[in-house]
Amino acid sequence: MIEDELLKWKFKSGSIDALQRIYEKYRDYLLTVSMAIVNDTSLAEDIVHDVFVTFTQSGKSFKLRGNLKGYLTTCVVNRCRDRLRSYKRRPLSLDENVQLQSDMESPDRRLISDEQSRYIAGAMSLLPYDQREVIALHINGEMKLSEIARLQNVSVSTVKGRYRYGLKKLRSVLNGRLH
Amino acid sequence: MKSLDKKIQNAIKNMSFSAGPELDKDLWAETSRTHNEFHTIELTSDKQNMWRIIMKSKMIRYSAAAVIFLIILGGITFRPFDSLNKEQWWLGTPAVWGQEIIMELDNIETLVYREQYVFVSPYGSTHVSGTWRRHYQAKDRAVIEMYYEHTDEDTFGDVKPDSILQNVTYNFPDGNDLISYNLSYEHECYSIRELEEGAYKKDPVEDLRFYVNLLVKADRIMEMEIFDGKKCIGFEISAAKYGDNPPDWIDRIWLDIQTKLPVRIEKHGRPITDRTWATSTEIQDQFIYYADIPVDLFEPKIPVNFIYAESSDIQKAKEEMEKGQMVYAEVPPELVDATAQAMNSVGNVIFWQHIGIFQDNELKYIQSREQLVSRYDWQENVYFNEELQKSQWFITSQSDFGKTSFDFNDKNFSIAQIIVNHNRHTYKTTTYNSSSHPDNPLDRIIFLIDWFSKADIFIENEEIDGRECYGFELSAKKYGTNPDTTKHRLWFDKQTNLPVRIEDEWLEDDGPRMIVKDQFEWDVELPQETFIPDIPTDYTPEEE
Repeated sequence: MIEDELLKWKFKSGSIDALQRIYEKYRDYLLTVSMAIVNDTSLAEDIVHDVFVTFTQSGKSFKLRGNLKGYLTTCVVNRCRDRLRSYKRRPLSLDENVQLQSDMESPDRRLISDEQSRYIAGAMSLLPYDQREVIALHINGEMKLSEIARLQNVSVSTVKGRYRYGLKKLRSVLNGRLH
Repeated sequence: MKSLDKKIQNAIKNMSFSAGPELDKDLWAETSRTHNEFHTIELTSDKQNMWRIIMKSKMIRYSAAAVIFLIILGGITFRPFDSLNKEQWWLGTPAVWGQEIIMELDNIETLVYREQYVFVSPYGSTHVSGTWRRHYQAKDRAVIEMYYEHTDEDTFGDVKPDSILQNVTYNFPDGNDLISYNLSYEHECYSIRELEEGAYKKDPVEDLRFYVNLLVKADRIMEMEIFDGKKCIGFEISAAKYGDNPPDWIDRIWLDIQTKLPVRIEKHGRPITDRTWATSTEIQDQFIYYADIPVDLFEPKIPVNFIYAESSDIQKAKEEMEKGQMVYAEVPPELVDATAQAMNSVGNVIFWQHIGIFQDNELKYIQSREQLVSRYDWQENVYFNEELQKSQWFITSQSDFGKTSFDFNDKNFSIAQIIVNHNRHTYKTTTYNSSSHPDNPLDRIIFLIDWFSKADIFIENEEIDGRECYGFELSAKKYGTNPDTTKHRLWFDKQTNLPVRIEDEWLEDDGPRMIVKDQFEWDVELPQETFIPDIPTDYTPEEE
């Protein structure tokens, strides 16, 4: 946390060092969150790219009282929502994800992951968007359900319901397929 | 059911996607490119406010204090971003690493450093002062040793074993007063002064702290240099940023990239008393931190043969004995200002320089040189009996033709001299670097004009080449160790206040000699090809 505070000060004053540190520290995490929500490598790359570019542009006007990780996670989630809405793209099904896996195993693969991660992402893609977002933010982003409720502009009980239903669906999809 | 939920949650938590090298490269390239578009390397003054802003938050203040505390406990150098560009901490926020330096400086109770001056002409020549000082500073007292050595640009930076101790000043408190002992080893005398309420209790590193605090306002980061055997990163700051100073006063501070402590401080563009155009650069270097200075070093030790007298009085008396009484004419100060102003605004000039000897009391020119001069380049055509013997070009190259008129640190500075010998049909090229190079012909002229106010004779009215002029005569004994037999005479056009004729007369064993500069054409347009060496195609390189 202290490091993040220092990074925020340095970033705001234009330090590329700080930006690089933020980028390196959160790049993979944001890619993971992004993949958990959109399950599309090139879209996830685009989203993280957009988030870093916008974050970088915020420069001097950047004001953040909360924590950096939560802020970046929220940026990714918002971007995922915008992208999915504007491009009207449908998350891939588990079957389609087989193709995705083979792409990612090519020698020049851009996004690296293990088999289970790809499988989980594929499973999550079968959930309705709101449920996916809650699960990604709560489990990957370690955000409290009340925080997610504020972000999604719904009640906490709605978030709890989305989380519960999301997990229930994952149980049926992943039953017997997790090591 | 719960165990499956736990498994799912763990699987999601452990889900990991990471950027491959290609994606990482693309992502960072785009991010850093965006950063570069939105931020220049310029360090804005906004940064100075950063520390204050962040420190308003109690939590952050405590957090930062905790970090600093841990660092002190750990005894390590504070590098918050150790995994990243750790060699380039200076690209981070100066308020953060500046604070580290300040903290380090706070531990220092004594400081030793050297101080030396370089005189810089606007036309590029430099002269390293022969005197340099070693400062030993403690909280309430200081000793300053002044040495003399023959220096030129080649020797600058070296401590020469033949340096002669000329002077030692001891400053120490006596209650609230400051006692200052000045011992002149050159004149074997000493004097004591007392400055009422002048006692100081200042941190020896106060000036360094001042400069470190200024770094948030730095205008640019210099290229890395090696000073005192240490790899240093330099910061340039306009002195206008910390006071009512002109913008051409420029400071540079060089920090050791390992220890972050100052290694060298340069103050460029400072005026010199009685020198209108030249500026001085003050350099502080050879810093010794945590110096173990023996206490008795601060106690004045007066050799038994020293007499009580002011060294300046003795020097004046000695000079009078050696050079005779100095004569000073009454020179109208408005004319001194007028010549300075006129020279300040001139551009190119063409003039002739003749070397003459006296035969039967008549001056006869034996050689004439046509000079075509711009600020950085010049051409010279040498005639003998009105026949062109030689042409030479002097072409200056340097990294930066702006800001400081001449940067003696500039490794890219050079002057190429191309000599074309029309007798032998040969040519030769010589390149000089900043350590030793020919001076622009205007340097000599402005040096003499600077002595106008100290003239021996003021010439109120004289007609030269059909123009009404005023002028002055100066004995060269007024500067350096020159004899009284060398004289300079300068005449200025009353209309333009620019030189019309300059004479340098001196005595050789076989009689007087004279160099005359005349036929001045000031602010003349010179075609670009003037400074492009013109070597006839059939000429061959001169053999060594």
